[in-house]
Amino acid sequence: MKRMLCVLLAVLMLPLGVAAETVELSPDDPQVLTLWHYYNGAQQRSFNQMITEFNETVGMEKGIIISPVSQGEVNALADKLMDSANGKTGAARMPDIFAAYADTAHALNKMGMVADLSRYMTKAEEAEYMDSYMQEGRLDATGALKVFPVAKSTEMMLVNKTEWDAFAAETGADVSLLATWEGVARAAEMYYEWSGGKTFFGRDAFANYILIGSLQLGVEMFEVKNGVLVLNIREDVLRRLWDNYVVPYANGWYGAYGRYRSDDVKTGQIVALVGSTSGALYFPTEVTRDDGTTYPIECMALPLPNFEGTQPCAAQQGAGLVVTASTPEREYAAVTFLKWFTQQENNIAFSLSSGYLPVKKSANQPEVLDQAMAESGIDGLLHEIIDIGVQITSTYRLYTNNAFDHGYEARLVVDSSMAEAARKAARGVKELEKQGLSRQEAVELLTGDAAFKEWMDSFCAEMAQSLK
Amino acid sequence: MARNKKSKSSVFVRLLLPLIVIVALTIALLVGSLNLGGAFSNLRTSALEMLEERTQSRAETLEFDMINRWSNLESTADTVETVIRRQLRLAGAEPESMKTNASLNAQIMLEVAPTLVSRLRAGGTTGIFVVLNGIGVAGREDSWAGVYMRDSEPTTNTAANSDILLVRGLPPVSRALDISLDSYWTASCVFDEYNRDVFFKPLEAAQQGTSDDPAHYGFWCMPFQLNKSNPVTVMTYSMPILDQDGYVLAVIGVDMDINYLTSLMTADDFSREDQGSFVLGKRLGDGSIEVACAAGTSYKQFFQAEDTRLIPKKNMEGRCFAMTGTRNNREMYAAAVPLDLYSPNTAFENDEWVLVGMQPAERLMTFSEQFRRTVLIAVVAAMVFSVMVAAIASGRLIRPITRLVKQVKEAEPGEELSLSETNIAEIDTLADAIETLNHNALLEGDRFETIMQMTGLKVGVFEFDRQTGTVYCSPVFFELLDCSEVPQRNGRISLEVFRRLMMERFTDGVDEDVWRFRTGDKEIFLKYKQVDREDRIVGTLVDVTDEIRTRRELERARDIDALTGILNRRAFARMTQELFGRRRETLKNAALVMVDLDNLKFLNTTYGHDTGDSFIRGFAHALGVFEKANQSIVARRSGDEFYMLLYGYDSRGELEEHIQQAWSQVSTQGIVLPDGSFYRFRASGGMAWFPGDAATLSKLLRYADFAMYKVKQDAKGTLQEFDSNIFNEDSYLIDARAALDKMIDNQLLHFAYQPIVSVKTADLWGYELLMRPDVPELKSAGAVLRLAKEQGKMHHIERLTWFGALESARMMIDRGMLSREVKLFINSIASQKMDLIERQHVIDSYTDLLRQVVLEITEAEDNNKDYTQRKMAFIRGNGGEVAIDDYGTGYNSELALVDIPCEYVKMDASFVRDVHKDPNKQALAKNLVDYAHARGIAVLAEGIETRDEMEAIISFGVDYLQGFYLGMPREKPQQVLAEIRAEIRGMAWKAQQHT
Repeated sequence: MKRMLCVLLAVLMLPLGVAAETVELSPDDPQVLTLWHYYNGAQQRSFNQMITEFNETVGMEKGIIISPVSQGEVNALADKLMDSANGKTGAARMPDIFAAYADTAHALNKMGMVADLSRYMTKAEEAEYMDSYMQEGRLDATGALKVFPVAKSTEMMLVNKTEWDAFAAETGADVSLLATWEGVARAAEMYYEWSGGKTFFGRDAFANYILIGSLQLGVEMFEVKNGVLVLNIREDVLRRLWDNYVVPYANGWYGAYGRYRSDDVKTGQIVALVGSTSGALYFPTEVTRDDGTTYPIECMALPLPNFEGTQPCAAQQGAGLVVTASTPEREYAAVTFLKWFTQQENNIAFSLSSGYLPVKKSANQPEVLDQAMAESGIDGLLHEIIDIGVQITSTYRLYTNNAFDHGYEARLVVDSSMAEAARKAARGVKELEKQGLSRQEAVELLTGDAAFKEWMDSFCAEMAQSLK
Repeated sequence: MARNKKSKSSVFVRLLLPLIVIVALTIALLVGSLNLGGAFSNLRTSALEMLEERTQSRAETLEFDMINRWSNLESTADTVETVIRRQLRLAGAEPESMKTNASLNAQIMLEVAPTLVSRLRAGGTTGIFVVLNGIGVAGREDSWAGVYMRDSEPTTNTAANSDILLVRGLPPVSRALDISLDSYWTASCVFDEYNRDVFFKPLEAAQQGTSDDPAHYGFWCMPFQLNKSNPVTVMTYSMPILDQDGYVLAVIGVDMDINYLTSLMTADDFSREDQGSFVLGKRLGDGSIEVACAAGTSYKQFFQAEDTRLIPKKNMEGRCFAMTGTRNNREMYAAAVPLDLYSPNTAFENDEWVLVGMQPAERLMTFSEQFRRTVLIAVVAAMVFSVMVAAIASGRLIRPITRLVKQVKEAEPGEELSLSETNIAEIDTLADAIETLNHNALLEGDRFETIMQMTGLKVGVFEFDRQTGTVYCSPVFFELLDCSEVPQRNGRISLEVFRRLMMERFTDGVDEDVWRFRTGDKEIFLKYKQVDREDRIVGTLVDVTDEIRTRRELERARDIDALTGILNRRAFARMTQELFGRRRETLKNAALVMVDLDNLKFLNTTYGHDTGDSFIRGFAHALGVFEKANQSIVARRSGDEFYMLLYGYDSRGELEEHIQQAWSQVSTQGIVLPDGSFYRFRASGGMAWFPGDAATLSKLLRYADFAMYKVKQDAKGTLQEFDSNIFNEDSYLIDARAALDKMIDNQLLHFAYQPIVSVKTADLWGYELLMRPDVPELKSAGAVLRLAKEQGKMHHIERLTWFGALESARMMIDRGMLSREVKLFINSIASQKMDLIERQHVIDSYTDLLRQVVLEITEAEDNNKDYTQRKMAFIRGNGGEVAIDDYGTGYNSELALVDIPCEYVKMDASFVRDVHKDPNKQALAKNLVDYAHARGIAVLAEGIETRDEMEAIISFGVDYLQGFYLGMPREKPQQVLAEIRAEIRGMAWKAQQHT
C-alpha cells in the first residue's frame, strides 16, 4: 500500500500536461519492426493472429508492420538478446521489440539500448495500467517506463481432478489441504501411501517458491533499495522452505520426471502441479500411458498454496515487451503497436485465448472478463483458470523483485540450488534404500540439519558468486 | 535603307538562336541515341535482370539447403533402417509384424529417437520425424508408431535439449531424451486430411514403384497445418525407408516451420528500400504459382493472407512477369526461378517448385526512373546553361557593336569620324569602312557644294534632327537668309534659333511656298520646301528670284491682247474676279460696260482685214478715256467686243457722268481709211450697275451683255443701261445662251447615229454622227450652232464635234456596237479649224478611227477657204475622206464642187422632199448626180422619208441613201431593216433596167 502511495505520489509529482510525443509516419514507406518473443503453441498462434490483425488495420493505415519471430523459450531469447546487444559475431541484429523479464531489460537498459516509452505516452495513459505491472517496468531512478506490460501471469495449482477424486474418495483427503504448502505435503504423503509409491506433486519455476515463500515468511530476499540490492537470507526462512519442499521430494511424494511438470501430468507421473496461469491452458484432458494408451481426466484449478499462517502472496510474472532505443519513428511505431495490443478488447482477447491476464485495470474486473468470456463462449477449465487468476490478482500480494545487477544470475541460483538439492536427496534416498536404510532414515540423513546446513552454505556461496 | 521590321533581328538573336538550335539538336541527338540505343529500355531490362539474378542466386542457396541439407536424410535413414532391422531380428519378426506389434514398435522408436535428435541439431530443419509402417498404440488401428520432434528455432541450440519439443512419440521417449512434450503432443501418429500426404505419398509411391532407391520417392509436401487442432504450419520433405526387398519399413522426413522458412527467406538480398519479397511455391498447370511460403513485407502489402496463388498478369523479359496486388491493386514485378528439387525420373518430378522474387514495379524501376529524371534534369540544365553561355557570349559580342553604333549615332555630321576598336576583326573592318565612307561623304559634300556654287543655283539646305533638337543649315542657307551673324557650330543651330529666324524672315509670302525677302535694296524670292521624316525634317530654300521675274513677265504678256495692247479677256476675268473676291470693298459703286463695234464686217469686206484690225486697235485705244486712276479695267473680249469695269466711285452719279463723258468722247474719234476718208467709231454698248443691278460678277456680265444685245437689236450705236423688265421678258434667250455655255463647259452632248445605206449592195454603209445637246434649253444641233455662232463659240462646237464624235465612235466600237468598216460622217464647221495641239490630240487618240471618217463640209457665209483646205488635208492625210454637205442649198453650190475636192456630195434634204412629185427637183437631182459622177464623186441623198422618195432617188443613180425611211438617228448605231434593204435591191435592179 505504501508502495502504491509512493507510485501515486511520483505520478502526481511529474510535470502535468506533458504531451505524448507523436511522430509522422508514412503508410507508403512503412516501419517494419521485428519482434522477438518466446510464445509457443496456442499462445504463439494467438499472438500472431493479433499481430496480423494489427498489420492489416492500424499498421496498414499508419505505416507500421510488425514482424514477429518466436525464439522458443524465454531464456534462449534472453541469451540471443545479450549476444546481439554485445555485438557477438554471427549474432542477429537487435530486434525493435522484444519480450524480456525485468532483469534482462535492466541489463540492456544499462547499456543504453532501451527506449523510454514514457515519451510516447500521456500520464493518463500510463495510469490505465495495473500499477504493479507499470512499477516493474520502471527500471531506474528516473521512473521512465522501459518495459511495457502486455500480458501477465501468476501461479496457481492445477490438479488431475479424476485422480484426486478417486484418492479423496478412498482416503477422505480434503481439497482444503491444497491451500497450504504444509497441507500439500501432507496430501502428497497420503497419496504416496494410497497409490503405492506414486508421486503427487511437482513444480517448475522453482525460484518463485523461494522468493514468494521467503517474502511470506518475513523477508524479501532480493530487496532493491535505490537500485542497490540488499540480499536478505534468513536461515529459519530457508529452513521452512526446505522442509516443505526438499523433505517431501526426498520422500518421493514430490517429484519430477519429464522435462516439465506439465509433461508429468500428461503422462500420469504426477497428480498436481503449481504452474503459471499461462500454462494452465495446456493442462491435459487425458493421461497417456507409456504404451500410448490414454484415459480421460478432468482438471481442477486452485489458488496458489501459501505457508500456514502467512499473508497470501503470489509471483507476478510474464515478460513485458521492451523497445530498442532507435529513431523516434521506430520507437513511436513500436509504442503505437503496444498501445493497440493492450487496448482492453485486444488485451482481453489475447489473454483469454492464451491464459494470460490483462494488464489494464479496467480489464482486470471479474465482471468485464466474465462478460468477455461469455461472449467468446469460453467456459470450463479456461473460465476457471481466468477466474482464479483474477481472484489471485485481487486477493494476493503480487510480487516480483525489482531489477538489480546480476539479477538473472542470482535468480538462476535461487531457481536451481534448492531444487537440485531436492533431486540429489531423492536420488540419495533411493540409493540408501537399496543399501538397506529405511526411507525415513535415509530422508532424515539427507535432509536433516546437517544436510540443510551444508546446502545453505553452498547456496550462500553460489549466491555470492552470482552477484560478483 | 528600307525598314522592314519583320525581317529584322539583332545579332544577339541571330547568334543566340542558332546556338540554342545546335544545343537542342545535340541534346535531341543524345536523348535520341539514349532512347534508340536502348539505354532506357536497357535500364529497365537490367532492373528486371537484376531481380531475376537475385532470385536466381537466392534460389540456388535455397535449392542447396533443401537438397543438400534439409532433405539429406540418407545416413539417418540408414541408421533408422539398421535399428529397425536389428530390432526385428532380435524379436525374430518380419517387417509385416510391425503392423500389429505395438510394443516392438515402441522399442524401435525409443532406439531411433536419439539419432533423430542429432539429425535435428545438425540438419537445420525445424522438425524431424520417423513414422514406422506399423501400429502406434495397441488396439488403435489408425495409429502409426512414430517420433516427431521439433525445434522451432534451429539456429540456436540450448543445453539439455530444452528447446526441443516432442510432438509425437511415447512418453518414455520424452523422459529418455529429457525432451518436453509439445502442447499438442500425442503418443502416436494419426493422419488426417491435413497431413496424410507426408506419410502416404512416399509410402504409396514406393509401394507402387520399382526403384530400390528410396530417394526416388522423396516428396516435398506443400505446407500444411500439423493437424486439425495444431495450428503450426510446416512444409516437409519425406522419403521411405526400404528394406532389401523394397518393403517400406518407415517414412522419414523433416519439416520446415513456415515461420522459420519465412525468416530464412527474408534475407538481405534486398535492401529495405528495394521492398523485395520472395515466395516459395509450386507452379500449377495453368501457370499460376501456389504459394508455399512468402517472405517480405511488400508481399504482405500487396497480397492478402488468404491468397494462395500468384497469378502472372503479363510475361516480361526472361523469367519475369508482372502481377497485380490483390490488396492494393498496384503492380508487382516478379521473377520465377525453378528449383531443381527432384532428379529426373523420380516419382514427383512433375512438381515444379519455384522461387519467386518480386519487387513493387515502381521500386524496381526506381533507378531507371532516376536515370530518366537525371537525364531530363541534365538536358534542362544543359539547355539553360547553353542559353546563358550563348546569351553572355553574344552579349560580349554585342556590347562593342552597340558602343560602335552609339558612337556612329552620336557622331556630328560633317565631322571626321573616329570609332573605337571592338577587337572583333569583322566589326573593326566595318568600322574602318564607315570611317572611310564618312570621310568620302565629307569630301563629296564639299564637292557638291562647289558644284552647286558653279551652277549658280543657290540652294540652301537644312535638316532638323528630332533626337538632338538641333538644326543643321548649309552655308548657302545662311547666305540666302542673310544671317551669317547667327551663332552656329558646324552649321548647327538650336531649334529655337531656327524658329526665330524663320518667324523673322518669312513674313512676305507671295505665292505658295514662295516668299519675298528684301536685303538692302535687293528684292529676292525664295522657295521653301520641307519634307517630314520620322526622325527629322529636311528642307530646302531655293533662290527663285529670276524664275519669279520671268514668270511675272510672261503673265503680263498673257494678259495683253496682242492686237490692241489692252488687257485680254482672260486678264479681265482674273482681275474682275479678284475685285469681286478679296478686294470687294474697293468696288464701291461700279459699272460693267460691254461694247460691240458695229461696222467691223463692213470694213473687213470692204477694205480688208488689215483695216478691220486697225479699226479695232484704234477703238481699243480710244477706250482709254474710260480709264481713270486705276479704277477701271478695260479689255478686249473677242473680235469686236470689249468690256470695261469701272469701279471705286463714291456715287453712281459720279460714275454715270464719267461714262457719259467718255462715251461721247469715244464717239467723236475714228480712223482714217485707206482711201483717205475718216471713219468714226460706231459701237453699241450695254451696261449694268453694281450694286444696283447685281451684286455678283456673273450677273453683271449677263446683264451688261443682255443690255448690249438689246442695243444691237434695237438702237445700234448707243450705250444703254440694263433694264430688268426687258431682261425678264427675254429670259429664254438669256437662258439658252447660258445653256450653251453650260453645254460647252461641261460637254453636255452626245451623238446620234443615222444609218447610211449603199444602193449598190443594199447594205449598211455608214452613219452620220449627229450632235445632240444634253441641256434642256437647247433642242437641236441647229439651235446650238445658231447660238454658238451668235456668241462666237463656233470653235468650241467644232472642237466638241470632233472629240465628242470620235470618242462616241470609239466607245461604240469598244462595245461592239459599231463596225470598223462603216463610214462615219462627221459635221465640221467650215469657218473653224482646230489648232495644232488639238489636231495632234486627235491623231494621238483616234488615228485608227480617222480612216473611217468622212468629213462633212458645209459652205457658209464666212467660210474660210484656208481653214477648209487645211482640215481636208488633215483628214485625207490620215486616211479619211471628205463630203460636201447640204449640197443644193444656198451655201453649197456647184461652185463648191469645183473649189473643194471631195469624195462625196450630200444632196440636201430639200431636193429629196417630194422629189417623185416635182419634175424640177428630179431634173436638179439628175443633174447633180450626173455632174458629180462625171467628176468621180459619189452622191448621197439625205432626208429620204418615204418609199416613193427613195425609189425616185435610186432611179436617178444616187449611190447612198440616208433618211428617216431608212432609219432614225439613234443613240446607238442601228441596223437597217431587212425589208427596206430588199426594197432597195429591187429598186436598184429596176433602175438598172431603165438605163
